[in-house]
Amino acid sequence: MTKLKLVKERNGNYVLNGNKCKVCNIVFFPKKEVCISCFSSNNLEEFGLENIGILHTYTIVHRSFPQFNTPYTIGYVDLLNSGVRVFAPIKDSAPDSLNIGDEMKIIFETDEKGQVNYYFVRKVE
Amino acid sequence: MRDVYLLGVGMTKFGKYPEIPIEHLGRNAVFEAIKDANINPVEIESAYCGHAFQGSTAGQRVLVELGLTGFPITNLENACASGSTAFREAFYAVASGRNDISLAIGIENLSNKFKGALGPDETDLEAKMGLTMPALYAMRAKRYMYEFGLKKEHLASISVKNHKNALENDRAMFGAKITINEVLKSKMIADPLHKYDCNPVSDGASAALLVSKKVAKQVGGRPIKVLASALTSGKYEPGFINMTFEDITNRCALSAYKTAGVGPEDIDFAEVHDCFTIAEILRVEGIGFCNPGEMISWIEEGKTEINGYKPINPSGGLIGKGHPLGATGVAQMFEIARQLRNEAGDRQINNPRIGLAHCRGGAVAGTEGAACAVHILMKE
Ligand SMILES: [Zn+2]
Repeated sequence: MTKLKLVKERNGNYVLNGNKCKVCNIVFFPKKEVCISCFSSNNLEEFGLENIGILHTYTIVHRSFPQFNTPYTIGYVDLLNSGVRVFAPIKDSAPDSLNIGDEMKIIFETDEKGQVNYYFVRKVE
Repeated sequence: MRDVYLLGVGMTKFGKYPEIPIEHLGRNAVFEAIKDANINPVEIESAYCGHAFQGSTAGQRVLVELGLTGFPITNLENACASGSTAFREAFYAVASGRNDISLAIGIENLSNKFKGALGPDETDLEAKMGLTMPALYAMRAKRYMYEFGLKKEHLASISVKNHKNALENDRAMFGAKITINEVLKSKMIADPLHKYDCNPVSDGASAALLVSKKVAKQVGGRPIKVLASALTSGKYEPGFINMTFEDITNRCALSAYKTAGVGPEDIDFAEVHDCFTIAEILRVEGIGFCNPGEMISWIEEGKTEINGYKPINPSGGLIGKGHPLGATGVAQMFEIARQLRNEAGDRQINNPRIGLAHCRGGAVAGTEGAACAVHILMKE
């Protein structure tokens, strides 16, 4: 299986790497090779997702897979322009005060293996 | 399509059996189902075995223990709905006219398969970023709280009910008299779900014999008619999936009601897939017993208790009985049969006529779930 490339570089910044059917106007993230609506692979074009969205829901995880340090926070954020809901960890110093509906921002970070990961933070005005 | 009857059921007590091979658990459940149906085992014409992690041709390995061989045996995997999927295939083997007697088996032994906690599947992007199954349901619970004003105490009272029902069920792993406070004081798993909001990992097996009208009449006994068998998968739909109303459950239930010619108002009780307390809420609303958000008042009014308006999970459900993945769907049929025959002892519902079983399994990113099955059964 080819590894999905979730992040790409655009004008020196990172964005989530999706694609869009220009006929059906649907954005896919992760990318799809075939549009699920027109069932064609010819109408898909590269599409970088916006990095701002609304927190749909979240949780603080206390028990997890052995390789994870707990507690940590995760959530789903709705990117309203793309129409895509994205899952990622949330980094916040006071996760108990998060609220559904909060404006969130996607932050990109390169790990020691050179892989670019992403997480959410609260967007501070 | 021919009428199909559930004639016999069997199941092991659910629990942790690291020392007992799956072939023996399966054998015990099948043996009980054959005795319960009072048929000659050599007349079984086909078998369908549902499991998630028991390896290649597990159904054959179970049935050879009883010398039940030489007919078609098919193994099915549909995550936690594997058992229901097997039941459905046995149902269709009889409904289609191909067989007069077909056997459905559900089996799972997790404790001799996995040591320690399961890691995320390498192909599951969300799990690799920390999304556990309890965390997914915790997020659905948080969203439900936001939309409808659900409180942790409502969730806890489902756990109290299901543990209490399980106490009267000799096949249940986790019967207990616990209080709302004890649920809320149990270890936090993923906010707002505590340990007692989650189903315990378990092992076990279950079996059901499905027969034609001809066989049901010959054998006598107390056959139960299977009015409908519905199965569906989660839809991939672009955009924002509603996390507090289960389209997969709703579509599946509506399809079953249509086939059965009955509606939710005709169903006396249901066994639903309560892998977590919030899941029981989503499923009862999904099968159309009440409107979205209405479960809050139903819980407060005790409507889902054994003596309530619509008893839910009289067996104890997954939370009280245990959840050996593949065994769960067929074990639901064990409870439906016990209740419809008025054999459920201290957890007996007052003379029920129609029961519904809802089971779902698997997570596929971008959809609401992998598989969902709804069966409706009626005593004649
Ligand atoms: Zn298209």
